[in-house]
Amino acid sequence: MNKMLLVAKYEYLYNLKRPAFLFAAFGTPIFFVIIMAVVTLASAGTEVDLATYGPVGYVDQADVLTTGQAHPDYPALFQSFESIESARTALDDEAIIAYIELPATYLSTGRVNLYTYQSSVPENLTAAIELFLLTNFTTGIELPFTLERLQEGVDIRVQTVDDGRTSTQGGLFVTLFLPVIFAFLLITASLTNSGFLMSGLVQERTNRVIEILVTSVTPLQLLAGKIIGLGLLGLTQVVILLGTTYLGLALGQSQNLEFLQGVNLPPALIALALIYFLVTFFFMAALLAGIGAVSSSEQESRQISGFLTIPFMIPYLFFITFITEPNGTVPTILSLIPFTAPMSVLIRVGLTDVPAWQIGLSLLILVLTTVFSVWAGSKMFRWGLLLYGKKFDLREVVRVIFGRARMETSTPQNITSQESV
Amino acid sequence: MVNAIHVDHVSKTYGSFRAVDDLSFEVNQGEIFAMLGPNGAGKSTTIRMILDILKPDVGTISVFGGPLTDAKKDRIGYLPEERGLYRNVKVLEMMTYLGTLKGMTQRNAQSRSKELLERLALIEHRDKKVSELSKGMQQKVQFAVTVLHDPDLIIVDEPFSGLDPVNTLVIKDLMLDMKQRGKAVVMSSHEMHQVEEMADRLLMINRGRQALYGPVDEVRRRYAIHAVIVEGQGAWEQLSGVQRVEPHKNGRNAAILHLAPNVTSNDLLATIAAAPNATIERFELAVPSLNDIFIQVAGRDE
Repeated sequence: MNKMLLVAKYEYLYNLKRPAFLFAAFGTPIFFVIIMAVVTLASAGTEVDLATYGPVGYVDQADVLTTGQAHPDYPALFQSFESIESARTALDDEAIIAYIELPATYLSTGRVNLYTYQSSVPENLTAAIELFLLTNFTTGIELPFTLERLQEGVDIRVQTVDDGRTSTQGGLFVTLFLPVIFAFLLITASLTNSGFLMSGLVQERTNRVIEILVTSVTPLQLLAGKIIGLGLLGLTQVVILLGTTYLGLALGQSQNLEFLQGVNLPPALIALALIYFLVTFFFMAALLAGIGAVSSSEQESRQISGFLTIPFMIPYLFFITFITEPNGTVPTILSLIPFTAPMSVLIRVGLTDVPAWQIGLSLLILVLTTVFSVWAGSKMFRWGLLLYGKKFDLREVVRVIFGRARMETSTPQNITSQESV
Repeated sequence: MVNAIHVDHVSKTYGSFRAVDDLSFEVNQGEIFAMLGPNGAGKSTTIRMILDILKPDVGTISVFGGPLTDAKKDRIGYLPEERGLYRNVKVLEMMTYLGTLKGMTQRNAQSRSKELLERLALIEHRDKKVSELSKGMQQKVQFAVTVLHDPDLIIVDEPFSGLDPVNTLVIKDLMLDMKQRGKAVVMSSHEMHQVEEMADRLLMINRGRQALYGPVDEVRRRYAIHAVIVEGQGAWEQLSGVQRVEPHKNGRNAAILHLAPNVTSNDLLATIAAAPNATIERFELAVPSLNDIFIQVAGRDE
């Protein structure tokens, strides 16, 4: 097998088993699914069988339930009481499980008080109370539809005009923010995996495995193998992320969770996110490989890489601007700067209709920067691979990238340390 | 047969520091070749240039009769002085990976790794992580990685450091076995007695320059002094033919007898045998150990 592919396979399998990766890949999605499940279970748990549920008393001080007509579904659920006191006595004697009070002001405020010793009120009891009231209000009126239809009121579907995504009012929040969260997870995955590449490389240098490696494969085979292996690892993570997102959505929607109704992730958005994911990965992987190859310790390389990662999060500092003015000056500029572009574009695409030329230009600039970063990164990589214990010197690095192409892998400063007994 | 290594007038300078200065030597197939020298003499730089990790400023290096190609790298095994192993990977898994990087098939690399682990008495540790092994065990694993792909040339930097006598013997056997099968072995070592015992030829480098080069026996003879070492009782000063007596620094009861120019060691032996009150327990030519030569050569340029 080609040595580059061997390196790729090894890096993929090794990092796949790492706790850090497993946590990043499965932790977030599992958390998401668990939240869905908990919400689903919690809402399912508040449904009770009202046929066997204890009677509920009512005290009608607003004089709206004079007929006391029961809804056909719940013929014996509600019992009338003359006064609050008698209802209270019945409650204390456990003759009823709860009682509602319709205050005199009910017709103007719509407010109803419910008294019970139970810790929670089943959701379908609320619905039953509404139906009970509606049954009485509509006595003698011929309805052209069912009472339940009247009870439900208006169901508004929000259509975002730009990309044809639909959602209910409740789902609007999720529709807008799901892409934002998704973008965040994707770019983070990209940064995490390029971080793996760097720390792996620094470890190989500290362990001196690198000496064995470079006498077996060329530096470029090594670098390319690592980038491919970890790139595939990143894609695996994205597939897991997408899979669980769809699973969570399907699960939530099957349970009729109102805030997820009609929420979907359009394929075009996912495709764009994947493109940004890959370009960002190559951009950072090459850059961090170069840094991993020239920095003297894992700690130092982490500091530098942390410093380079911060700009990716800058768009979140302007989050309010992004929401209120997604096509304004700041979001537009941030969409073009290589480091801030991935997040900015993906957030904006989730919020509004971004002009195609901006996406195109943003990608063009990012791709050009990536080409440069791969070129410079591989130079630093070749140069710094076998340099030990030397302090990171930016001027020297710049000279290596732009100056002489000759490969110089050792310096007099570390001669003694290399040859110590 | 082409030389395993041919170094021809090679120099390497770092800034103003001349690490290797006009160095030339050859390593033949089927020999153990020792590279000696004080710290910072340029041994590691030379090794790195042979392995194409560094490029020489001047001169040429050929390996197996030409420049080092990727295919030739698969025929070389390298044991760096600073040991290099993946620490968090299982022994067998790591060996197999490094073997495949040398062009072996997965299956081949695995079975050969097991074979070597068996030979090095490490087979029961194959599923342990490298970091869980003792230092000596790691050293053996490192050596196993070096010879895993049955290379035609191995370059081992301080192969015995950190090994107990039993394991030293195991590694030594592996190296002699390679030599027997016509492979070239280049070892850099500070343990002179090992070099003395194993190496066929040596190169001593001092300050980047060649200080000594040739067969081990020849080098030792070249530094021999006209004297013998004796251990026993006797009035050595009074023997005829003895110019000067000095105590031997390592011997409890030994002395170095410097001979007059026209006296041979055989003459002296006869004289001692004829002497009335002399008894000898040891009698040998004062051929210096490599250690002495090493100190002498390294000290001369200080």
